[in-house]
Amino acid sequence: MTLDQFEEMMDSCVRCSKCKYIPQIAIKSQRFSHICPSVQYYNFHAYSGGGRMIMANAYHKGRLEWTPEMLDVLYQCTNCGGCEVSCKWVYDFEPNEVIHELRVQAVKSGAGPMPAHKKYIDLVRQKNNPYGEEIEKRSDWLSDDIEVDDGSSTLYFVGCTAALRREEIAVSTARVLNAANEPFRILGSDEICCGSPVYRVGDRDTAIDIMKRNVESFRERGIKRIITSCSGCFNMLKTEYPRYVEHDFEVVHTSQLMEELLREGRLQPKKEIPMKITYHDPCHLGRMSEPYEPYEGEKVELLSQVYIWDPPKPFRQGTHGVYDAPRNVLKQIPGVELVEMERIREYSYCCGAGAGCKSAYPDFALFASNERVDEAKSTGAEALVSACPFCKTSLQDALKERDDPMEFFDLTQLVLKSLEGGE
Amino acid sequence: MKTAVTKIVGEESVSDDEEILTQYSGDFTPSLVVWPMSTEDVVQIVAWANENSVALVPVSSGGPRRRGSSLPKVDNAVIIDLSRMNRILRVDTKNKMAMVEPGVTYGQLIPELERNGLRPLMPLLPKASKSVLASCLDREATTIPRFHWDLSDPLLCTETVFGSGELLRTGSAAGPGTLEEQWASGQAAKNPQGPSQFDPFRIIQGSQGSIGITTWISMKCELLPEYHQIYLAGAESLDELEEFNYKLLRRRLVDEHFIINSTALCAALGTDYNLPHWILVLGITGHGLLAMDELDYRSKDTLDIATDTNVVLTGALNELKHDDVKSLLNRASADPYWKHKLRGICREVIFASTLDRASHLYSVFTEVAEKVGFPLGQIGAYIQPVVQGISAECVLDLYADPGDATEANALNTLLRDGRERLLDEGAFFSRPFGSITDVIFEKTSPEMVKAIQDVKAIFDPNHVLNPGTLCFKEVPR
Amino acid sequence: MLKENVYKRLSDVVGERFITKAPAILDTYAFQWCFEIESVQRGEEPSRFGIRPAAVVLPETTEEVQSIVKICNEHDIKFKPLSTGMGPWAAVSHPRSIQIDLRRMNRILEVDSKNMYAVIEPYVTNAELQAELFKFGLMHHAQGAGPQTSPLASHTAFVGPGFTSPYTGFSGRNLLGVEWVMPNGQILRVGSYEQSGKWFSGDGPGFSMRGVIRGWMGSYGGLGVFTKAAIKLYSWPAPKDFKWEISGTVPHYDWKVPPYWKMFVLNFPEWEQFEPAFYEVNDHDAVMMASCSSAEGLAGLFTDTKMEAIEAIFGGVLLHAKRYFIVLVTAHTEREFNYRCKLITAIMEKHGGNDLIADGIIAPRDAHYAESVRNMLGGHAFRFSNCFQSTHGGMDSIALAVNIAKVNQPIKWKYIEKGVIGDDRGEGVWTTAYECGHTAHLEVPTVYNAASVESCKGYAEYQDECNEVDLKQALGMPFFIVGDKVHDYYGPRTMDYPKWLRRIKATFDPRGVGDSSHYISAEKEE
Repeated sequence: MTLDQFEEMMDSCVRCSKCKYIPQIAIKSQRFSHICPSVQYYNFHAYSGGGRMIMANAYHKGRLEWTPEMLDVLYQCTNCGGCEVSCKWVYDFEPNEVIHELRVQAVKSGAGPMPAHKKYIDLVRQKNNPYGEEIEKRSDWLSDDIEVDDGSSTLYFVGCTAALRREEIAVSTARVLNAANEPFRILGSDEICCGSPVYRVGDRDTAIDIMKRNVESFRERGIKRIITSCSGCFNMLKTEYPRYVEHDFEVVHTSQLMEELLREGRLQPKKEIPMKITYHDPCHLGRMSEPYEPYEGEKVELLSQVYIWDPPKPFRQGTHGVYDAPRNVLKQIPGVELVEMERIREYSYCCGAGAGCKSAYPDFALFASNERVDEAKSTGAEALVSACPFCKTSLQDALKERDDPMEFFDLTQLVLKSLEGGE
Repeated sequence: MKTAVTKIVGEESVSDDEEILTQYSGDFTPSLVVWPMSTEDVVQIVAWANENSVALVPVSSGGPRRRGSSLPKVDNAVIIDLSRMNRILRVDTKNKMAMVEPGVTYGQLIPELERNGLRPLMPLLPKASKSVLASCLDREATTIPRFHWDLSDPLLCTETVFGSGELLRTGSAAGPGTLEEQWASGQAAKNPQGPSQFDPFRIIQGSQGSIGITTWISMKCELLPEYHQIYLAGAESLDELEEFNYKLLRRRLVDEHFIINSTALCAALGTDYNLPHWILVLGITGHGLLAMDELDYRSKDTLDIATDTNVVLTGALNELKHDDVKSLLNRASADPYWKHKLRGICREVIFASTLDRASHLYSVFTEVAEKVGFPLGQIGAYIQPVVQGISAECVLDLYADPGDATEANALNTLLRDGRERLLDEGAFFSRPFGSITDVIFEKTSPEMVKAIQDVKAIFDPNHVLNPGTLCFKEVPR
Repeated sequence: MLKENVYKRLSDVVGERFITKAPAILDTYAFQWCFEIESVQRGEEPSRFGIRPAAVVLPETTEEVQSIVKICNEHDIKFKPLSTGMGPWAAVSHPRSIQIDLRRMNRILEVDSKNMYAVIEPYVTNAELQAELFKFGLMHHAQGAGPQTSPLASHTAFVGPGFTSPYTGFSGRNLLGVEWVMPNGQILRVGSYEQSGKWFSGDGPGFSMRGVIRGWMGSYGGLGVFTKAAIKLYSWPAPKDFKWEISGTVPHYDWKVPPYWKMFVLNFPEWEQFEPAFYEVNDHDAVMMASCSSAEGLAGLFTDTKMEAIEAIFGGVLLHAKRYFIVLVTAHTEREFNYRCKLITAIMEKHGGNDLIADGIIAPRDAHYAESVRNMLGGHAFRFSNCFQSTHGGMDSIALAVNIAKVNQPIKWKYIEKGVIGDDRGEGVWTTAYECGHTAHLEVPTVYNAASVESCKGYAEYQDECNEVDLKQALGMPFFIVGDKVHDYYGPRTMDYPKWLRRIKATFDPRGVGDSSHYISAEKEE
C-alpha cells in the first residue's frame, strides 16, 4: 500500500469541514458538536481528518518534506476514525486510512514515529509490552481463586494494559467467565502485545511481524476463539490482522460474550446496583471494529462521472461496530439507569488516548478525556462505564485531575458487582 | 441659473416665483424650483449642478413638509421637484410588483393596483400628496409586519441619478441587459439587491435625497384579499399587550398589526370617541384558492393566542367600530392632512426600538412632556412592529397650535429635551429628522461618521445633493 | 515572505500557539474545492492546490483581528478571513498574505428570543446554532452550503439561498447589526448598536451601511472581517418540549418528526403547469420548503447512499418525476396544518399535478425531514461523484427561474453528451423562492469529477458558456461573477457597476490589503 491508491480521493476532498463534527443530523448542542478532539485542541485546519488528507496529498505531490511541525500534525491524532463516519455519510473518502498510510510513509522514510513511540516500540520488542514491565509480571494479576483451563480452545487475550495497568479489568473478566462456567485459557507471560500501539503509529512492518508471531502462537496452541476485554486488541485481532495475516479465529469482545451469556441464562446479575450511568463507546470497539471484507472487483462508470463498484463493494461506514451488545448488557443489570451522552455509537467522542497520543502528547490526551468527562457529567450520571482498559486509563486520569467523585467502571466490573458472590 | 435650467427643461418647468418658492422654504429659501419631466432632464440638471456648484434639493411629495428633509439647508439651493413625473410605469399582478415614478401618490396608485388585483404595502394614512416613491425611500414603516421581511421593504429596484451625475439602475434592474430584455426573459425588477457585491438601494434609501435622485422604483405589492376583517383590543398600558404581540408576531398570522393611542386614532378619524389609552389593530385576511379557509384558520389561531394571553379581541371598542378603523387602512389621508387637523401643525418624533421597550420609552417621553408643560392629550403615538416583529417603529405625534406661543415653546422644548432623553434611554433614531439630527451624529462614533461621509464622497463627490442633511455639512464645490 | 519581526508582532497579538508558518499547515489552507475549475479557467492544469498564505493566525477577539489588520496595513500584507472556509473564495490569492482563521471566535453571544434575533461570531456553525435555538423555540436561516458552515459568513459575506428559504428567506436579507473590522483597520458597528446598545437593526442612522458591506453577493472575503452579526430568527414549528432525537446508525438514521409536518412532491407535466403552481404555493407563505430539481436529484435527496439513489432513479423516479417541486408543510397548530395541507392539495389539483409521495414513487424517511430543516439536502449532491458545483444562480422572479432552466437544458445536454459532467438529461436544477414568492433564484448543480482532467475542463467550459448565455440573454447574474476580470466582462451590460465597487474598495481599503480575488481591486487590471 502507498499513498498512490488514495490519490484520487485526496484530490477530491471538498474541504467541507464535516470531518470536524459528528454527523450533522446528530448535533444536539454546540457544546458537544465536535467529533475530532485534535482540531478541537489544535484549531488549525490541518488537524482535522480532511486537513490531514490534504497534507498527505501535498506530501504525495512533493509539496512538502518531513518537518517536526508536519510530524506533530500527523501524530497529534488518535486515529479514532470519527472523521470517517461523518465524511463517509456523504463522500467515498477514507481520511483515517490516509492518515494511517501517511504515518506508514513517515516511518518508512525514517522521519517517524515520534521519539516516545520509538521508545515504546523498542520496549515491545524487548519486553512484549509498551510499558516496559518485565515479561514475568504479565501474569501477576492472576490470583489462585481464578480458574483457568489450559486445555481450552478459547483464549482470553488479556492485553498489555489490562495485564499491567488495569489489572482489575483482567480480574473482573476472568471472574465473570468463571461465574458463567465459560472455560478459557491465558497465555500468561507468553502473551505479547497485540501490536496496536505499534501499528497505529505507522510502524506497519514491525506490527505485521507481531501479528505473525501472535497468529502462529495461537495456532500452535489450537486456539479457535479469542476473548478480549480490550477494544484496542479487539480491533487489531478482528479487523486489522486479517488484512495482513490470514487467520480464522473467532474474535469476541467481553461485551458481546456477556450479552450471549446473559441470553443463555449463564450469567444472572441479581444484585441491585441503583445507579445512573452513562456509557462511553470505545472507538475500537465501535466504528473502528467494522471488518475489512476482502474485495475483488472494479470501478465501473454507470452514469457519466458516477462510478460504482462491480460487484458492489462493502462500504465501511461504522455501521457494524459493537454498539448494542454493551447496552443490552447494561439494561439487564438491575437498578442501573442508562442515560446516553450526545455523542454515542459510531459518532462517539474519543477518550484521547489512542494511536500513541497518550505517550507523545499527554496534554492533548488529557484535554480530550476531560472533554469526554464533561459530556458524561452533563447527563447527570453518577458513573461512567466503558469497555476498554485504555479508555479507562484515559478517562480516569481526567477524573483524577479534576478530583471528581464520578466513578468509572469497566462493563465487566459492573456485571461482576451484580452477580451473587461477585466482587 | 434660471436661464441655464430653462434650457434643459423648458420654461413651463422652472420657476423663481416668490409665492412658489415659499412653499419649499424652511430656514432657507431656495432660489429656484425646477420640475423635470424625464430621467434625462434629471441627468442634465445634476450635471449642470456639478459644473456650477449648485445645491440641489430633491422632493417628490407635496406639502405639508413636516420633517424638513426636503427643505433646503443652505442658501441658493435649487429645488428639484419630481412630482410631475407621475406615471405608473408598470403593474405586474403575477409578480406582485408596481413600478412608479416619483410623483405617483397613494391616491393614484391604489385604485390602479386594485384594478389589477393588488394592494400596496403602505404606511398608515399618509398625507394625500405623499409620494409613494419617497415613502419607500424614507424607509417608512408599513402596516403589515408579516410582509416586511427586511427593513428596506417594500422597496425593490430603482433608477437613480447619483450626485455625481451618473445613472444606475439598482437591483436586478441593473442587468445584465436592458429593461426590455429583462422583461422578455421573465424578470420583473424584483430583486432589490445588487448589482453584484454592493446594495446601492440601501445607500439611496434613508439618505434623504443626499446620495441620488431616484426617477422610478419598483415595489412589492400583495394580492388583494377576498376577505379582510379587523379586530381591535383596548389596553391602558402597552405592557398588557406585550405577550400577545410577541406570540402573534412569531406566527405570521395577521396582516395589519399595530398599536395606536386614542389621541392619534381620534385625530385620524376626526372624532372624539371615549377609548382606552391604547388600541391594538389587527387585520386578518383570506385570499386566493381557499380564501375563506385561510381567513378561518388565521382568525381562530389568533383568537386562541388572545385567549392564552388575556387579550380580548373585539369588533368594537365603545363607539369605535372595526369598520371605522378599516376605513383608515389602504388609503391616503384627505386634505388637510389628518395630523394637522387637530391643532394646526404636527411635529413627529420617530425612532426605532424593540417592541418590549416601547412602553418604557413612551413613558420617558411623556414624563418630559409633563415637565415642559406640553399637554399629554396632544401626543399621538403609533407603534408599528416591523421586520416581522424584530423591532418596532415608534412615531410620536405632537399636535400643536402654532399660533399659541406657550404651546409652540413647549413643543420646541419637548422636541429637544424629549428626543435627547429618548436617545439616552437607547432609542434608535434610524431616520433622523430635524434638530435631533446633529445630536444623533454627535453621539455616533467618529469612525461611523467618517464612513458615512466617505460613502457620500463616492456617490456625490461635489456635495450637490441636499447639503446640510444628516451629517453632510459640506456645500457644493 | 514574511519578515521575522512582522511574524513576531502577529505572534504577540494572538500568542505563539495560535500562529503558524509551517508549510504542512499552510497547505491545508491553500487547498480548496473548485480551485481546479478556476485553474482550468486560467488555462492551467486543474489543481485544488492554490497559493499558500505566508502565515495562518487564529485570533480570539475583535481587538486581535483589528491588530492583525492594522499590521497588514502597516506592512502591505494582504489578508483573507475564513471560518470553515469551503471554496476558493476562502483562500488567499497572493503569497504575501495572512489567512485569518476565525475558528476561535465561535460564541453565540446573545439570543433575544422575544425580538427574534441572535448575535453570533464567525465560527458558530448552522447546526450548532440551530441546536441551541431550538431551546428558545426558534430557528434561523441556514445557507445551502450546509449545516457545518457558518451563518455569519453567509449573512455578511456570501450569497444566501437555503432549503428553508420560503420560511426563512435569504441570508443577505436577514442581516441586522454587524460588527465590521474594515480593511483599513477601523472597527465599525453598523446599525442600532451605537445608539441603543443592541444589535436589532443594521440600518441607519440615515442610509444603511449594509449597502456597502454586501449586495446580492457579499464581498467574498475581500472587504475586511465581520466579527459579529445579528441575524433574524423564526419560530420553530414544534411543541415547546420537542427534543431533537436521532436514533439508528449511519447511514440510516431515524428522527422523531414533530406533529403537523408533512412532505409532498408536487409533480406536473410541463413547466407551463409547474410555474403557476410554484407561484401560488409560494405566495401563500404556507410552507417551510419548496424546492425543485431533476428526477435524479429527487432520488438523491430522499435516499441515504449513492447506490440507493441510483436504484431509486431506475426504480421509478426517472419514469414518473417530471416537473416537480418538493414541499414541506410545517405548522404550529392542527388547524394551521389542516389548512396548509388542504391548500397544497388544492393547488396541485388545480394545475393538474400529482403527489409522487402519495403515489408511492418516492418515500422520504423521517430522517429526511430532519435533513430538510437542518439544511443537509444539498450535501446529497456530493454522493454521486464526490463533487458538484452550480452554474447560473440569477435571482429575480419565479418566471426568470423557469426561463433559466429552459435555456440551460440544451446547453447542459451538450456537455453531458461529451461525457464530461453528470447525466441528469440537463434537467438538474435547484430553485427556491423567497418572501412569499416575491423572488426566486435558480442554479444548476452539476456533477463532475474533480480527479479527472477532462471533467474539470468540461465543467469549466460549461460554466463559462452558462455565464455567457446569462449575460447575452439577460438571465440575471450568476454566483461567480466576481474578481476583476469577470466583473469587467459583465460590467458593460450591467450599467458599468464595477466602477462603484472599485470606488468602495478604494475608499475602505486604501492600501488594498483585503484579498480582492473574489471581490474587486481598486484599480482596473491593464
